[in-house]
Amino acid sequence: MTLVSVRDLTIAFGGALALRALSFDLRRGELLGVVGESGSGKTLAALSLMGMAPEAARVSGAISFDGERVDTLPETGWQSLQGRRIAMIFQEPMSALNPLQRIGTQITEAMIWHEGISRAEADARALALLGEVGMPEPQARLRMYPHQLSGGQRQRALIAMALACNPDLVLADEPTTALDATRTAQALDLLRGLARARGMALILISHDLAAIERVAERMLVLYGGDLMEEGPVAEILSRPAHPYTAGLIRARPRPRPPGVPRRPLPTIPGSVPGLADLPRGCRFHGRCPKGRPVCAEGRPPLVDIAPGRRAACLFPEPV
Amino acid sequence: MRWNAVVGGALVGLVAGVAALSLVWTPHDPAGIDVSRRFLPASPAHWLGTDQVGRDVASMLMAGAQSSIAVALLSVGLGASLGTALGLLAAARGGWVEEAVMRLSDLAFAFPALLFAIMLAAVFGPSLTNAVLAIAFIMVPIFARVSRASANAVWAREFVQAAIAAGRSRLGITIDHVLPNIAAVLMVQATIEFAVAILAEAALSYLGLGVQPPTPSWGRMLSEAQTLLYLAPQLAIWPGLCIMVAVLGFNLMGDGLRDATDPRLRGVGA
Repeated sequence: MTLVSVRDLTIAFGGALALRALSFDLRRGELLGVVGESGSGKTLAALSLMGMAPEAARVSGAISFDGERVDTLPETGWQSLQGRRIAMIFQEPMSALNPLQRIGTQITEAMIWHEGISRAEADARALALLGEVGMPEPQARLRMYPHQLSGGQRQRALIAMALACNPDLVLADEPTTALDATRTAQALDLLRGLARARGMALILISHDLAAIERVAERMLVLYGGDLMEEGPVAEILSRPAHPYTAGLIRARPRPRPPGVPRRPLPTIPGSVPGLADLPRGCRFHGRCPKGRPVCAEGRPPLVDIAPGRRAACLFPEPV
Repeated sequence: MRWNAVVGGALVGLVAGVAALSLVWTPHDPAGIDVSRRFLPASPAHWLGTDQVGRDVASMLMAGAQSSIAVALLSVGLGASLGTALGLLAAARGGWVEEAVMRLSDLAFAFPALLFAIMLAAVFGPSLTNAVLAIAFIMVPIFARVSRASANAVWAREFVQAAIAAGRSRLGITIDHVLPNIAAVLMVQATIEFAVAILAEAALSYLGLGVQPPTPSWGRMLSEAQTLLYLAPQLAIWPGLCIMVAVLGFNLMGDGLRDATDPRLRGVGA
């Protein structure tokens, strides 16, 4: 059953298109990964799903949540969804917590506002949540301020905040950038486990293919505001159809087995074009190893290339 | 602890303590006129002597501290509340509301406060209330600007974005997240504005637009002493010194508080 349906979502700043006609669906309880570089539009897409697109942005297209159009909602209409049915986990665990409020107060904020429950009841639920996200000594942590917690603990507190009202959808925008490799893996496994246990849909936004692989079932690949490729994570990672995806996968750092000579990490030549000078046609054609003059003429349509897989390329790799 | 906060706090404590003491005790009646005891020099009976109508100068100064503190407290309280509310509104709503509030602040800034006080006095008669209103009028745009600038900085922080994502209203976010995070800045500003208010009260009283006789006030003592400068200069020196001590005290305390709350000045990364 479809929980979120996005159709032709376009976000423009002045004349520059930061996101171009993005369409995708998300099933209830589905784990979706969105991968892309800085400036690919992935964060903008997430903010639009939250009703939090920047004021300077012109947003068009349609977003439905649980069968109802939400992109046309006024601010107060969004407020009844935000935190209650759609929640967000922010990037930076230190700055996403109010330094002057106790952890317990921040976790219970959404519950008390949306459900009108008593402080005692909210505290009890916050305690259970902290236990669920694996916070050590949750009773004591509830009374602490953010600066008294470690980075990993703050990230767990943020996850608990997002889960406070048992939402149907959680958006996690680079939730692990501030954590070291071990904490990252723990936090990702925790997110996946919680989403599974609660039947909650999750959109994980990341530039890190390893994070997407660890958490998501299906993934979207964004580049320069365009959806380049979409499909099951395992299939895309083993047989990418779009040259951009292929380049991303080649550029992943891998552990070097002993005895294998050191080699430079493959890269995609060139750099991501700025919002002001996005190329015509396929956004990737200038950097694409298979790019031909025809690629600059028009935007390649997103076509089905295999069951459940779509790619926007005139010359896709065989899958 | 910073030296300026300590010295400033001590001076402020002295002025406030004397004002409080004068509520229950002064060496003589500050309004007690006795023409037979004019221009007495300092003595154990009259610590700082008497003035041109025989009032005890020390008692008048003590009671005058009351007026200064009361006017400063009321006007800064009123001006800060109103100004902060406007600044928070501007930051929360943005757009034309913010523009309107800030342009109105500019307008109020451009309007000479003394002129406003004279206008109030001309229409409603000179009184303590009108002095308070006139000084509060100077404070409103100052606090509107300070609170808007700090609130805008808080609105840009991620935990406010998180509160929006949790479905909180702008009013709720302003009260629960923004105001507590700018409280320190406002407190520092209020302390500094206290000094401005004390000076303004003295100026208004000097012009006869503030507290009315027989209630003593430093500003009026100065103006009454002005014609007697060659005869009895000490009558001008004492209230002048009191004003200076009070203003210096609040300024030093404000500086000290700012140093203590501003991490950049403490050498600790924000």
